[in-house]
Amino acid sequence: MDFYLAAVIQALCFGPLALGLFLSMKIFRIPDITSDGSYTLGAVITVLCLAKGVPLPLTCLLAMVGGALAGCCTALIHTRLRINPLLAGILVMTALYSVNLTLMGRSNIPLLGGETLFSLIHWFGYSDLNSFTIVGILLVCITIALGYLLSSDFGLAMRATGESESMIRALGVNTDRMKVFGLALANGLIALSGCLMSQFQGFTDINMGIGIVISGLGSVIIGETLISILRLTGMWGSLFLVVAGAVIFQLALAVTLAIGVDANLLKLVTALLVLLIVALPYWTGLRRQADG
Amino acid sequence: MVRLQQISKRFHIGTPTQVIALQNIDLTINKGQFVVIVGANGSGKSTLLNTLAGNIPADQGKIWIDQDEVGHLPVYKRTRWIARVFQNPLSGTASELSILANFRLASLRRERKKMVLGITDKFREEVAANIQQLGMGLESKLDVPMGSLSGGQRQALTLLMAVMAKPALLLLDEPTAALDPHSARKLMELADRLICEHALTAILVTHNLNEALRYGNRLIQMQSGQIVRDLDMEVKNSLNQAEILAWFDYF
Repeated sequence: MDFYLAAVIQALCFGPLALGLFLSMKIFRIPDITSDGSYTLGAVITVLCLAKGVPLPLTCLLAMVGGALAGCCTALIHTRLRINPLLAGILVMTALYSVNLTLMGRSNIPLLGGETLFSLIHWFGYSDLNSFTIVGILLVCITIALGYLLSSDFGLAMRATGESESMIRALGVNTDRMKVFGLALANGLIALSGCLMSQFQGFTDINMGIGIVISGLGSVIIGETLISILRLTGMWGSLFLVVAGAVIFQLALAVTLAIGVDANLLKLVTALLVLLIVALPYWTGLRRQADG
Repeated sequence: MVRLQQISKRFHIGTPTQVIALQNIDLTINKGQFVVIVGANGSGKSTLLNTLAGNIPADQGKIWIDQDEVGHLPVYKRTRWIARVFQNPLSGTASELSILANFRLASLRRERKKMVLGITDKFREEVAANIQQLGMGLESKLDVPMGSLSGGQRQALTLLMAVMAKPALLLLDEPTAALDPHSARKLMELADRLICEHALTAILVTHNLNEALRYGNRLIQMQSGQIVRDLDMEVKNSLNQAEILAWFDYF
């Protein structure tokens, strides 16, 4: 049970990552893989700030600002220089590896003592339950805030930017600026994920971001599938399902580990799991066609 | 009033494929005029429309709308004056957003899109009342995604969205080109009615000579980037289809 609760907490730490990728990949339809870098950047800023005794809320904020700046870089390269967003993301992600390494000075820094998000409350006798509660509360707040943003007039303009640029430009929206804002927000959230994860696992590693975009994407796709099954159109419900997607994804990984798959194969299992999730609607669709 | 002064546009400048799309165009359109532009492919009418909307910057010349010089402004800033219905029904609306959300965005054409929930019950009622005039029964489907509607329905809604903020200039860029004859006629009748009702200044670009004859109160023919014919209401009414067809006939 402990094992699965830990997986759920870990999944909730990935929640902002899933929401960020939902924003960039689904709302803006930009395949943004800056995430591998901005996720680690969030974790690096966190471990450095906490070691310097920066207060926890400010640390989280700084991590998000760092991620947002990375997102801005990608978006500016894409909109100002008219470079393919995928390439822009790869460029920034690659550059961030050196930035992160320089900031850290070495490849791994443990989080020694001090206050973290997970040591804030002591409502239950069982520490994992406290961790679960605090990260759960945080995620509910983020989801509600993001849902509000996307339901507002500004959010409608954001969603239309991803769908029909010609339309929304003809309705008075500067789509370039909108993309910069969108990718900044998305990567800010992704960096927050890195910030949460480094506090949860108690250290920051330079390689912790490698392939993280796949975990996030898997969560988003599960969320999307749930959204289409339930035929949701509201933003709040959709965002909660994306977070639920992250939980389902991590639980599925936990199950594969529990049945004895070598932990070294974790990335392979992750990739296969995402492949399965992506292919599933296609397979079931084929079967439905064959039946009809 | 819309005024174009010495507008020129060339493409592929300095290469063997250089094209003169617009050649020193001078054009004044008075308030309330409904101008129809016809011309063969490559005559420059689409370039003219795109130059007005801001999608294509002119090489030289000036564009005034009322007192303001707008020629240097990007598309999203000209929306204070200009509304546009595109040829492709998919370009004018956002598929995954609901009808209501699309109308909300259109209602904010001139305003900042703020971080407030703008879709209130009052707004919903206004949109429902507005859509009712289409007689398509869409007023009861306000939460349906735009993508589930037909091209004709989407184009009709785009037109309503364009008109609702009373633009100083309405651009209709072959709005019926992708529609079946029945939907096309319905749409043009709606456009004509709305333009008359709100006394809008409008430009219609079309390849359909029937439409060119039936609608509007001024007819312009373009050829090789120039205005070669400019007919007022009276002359236009005396034309028949064969005469316009003859403009295109070079045999």
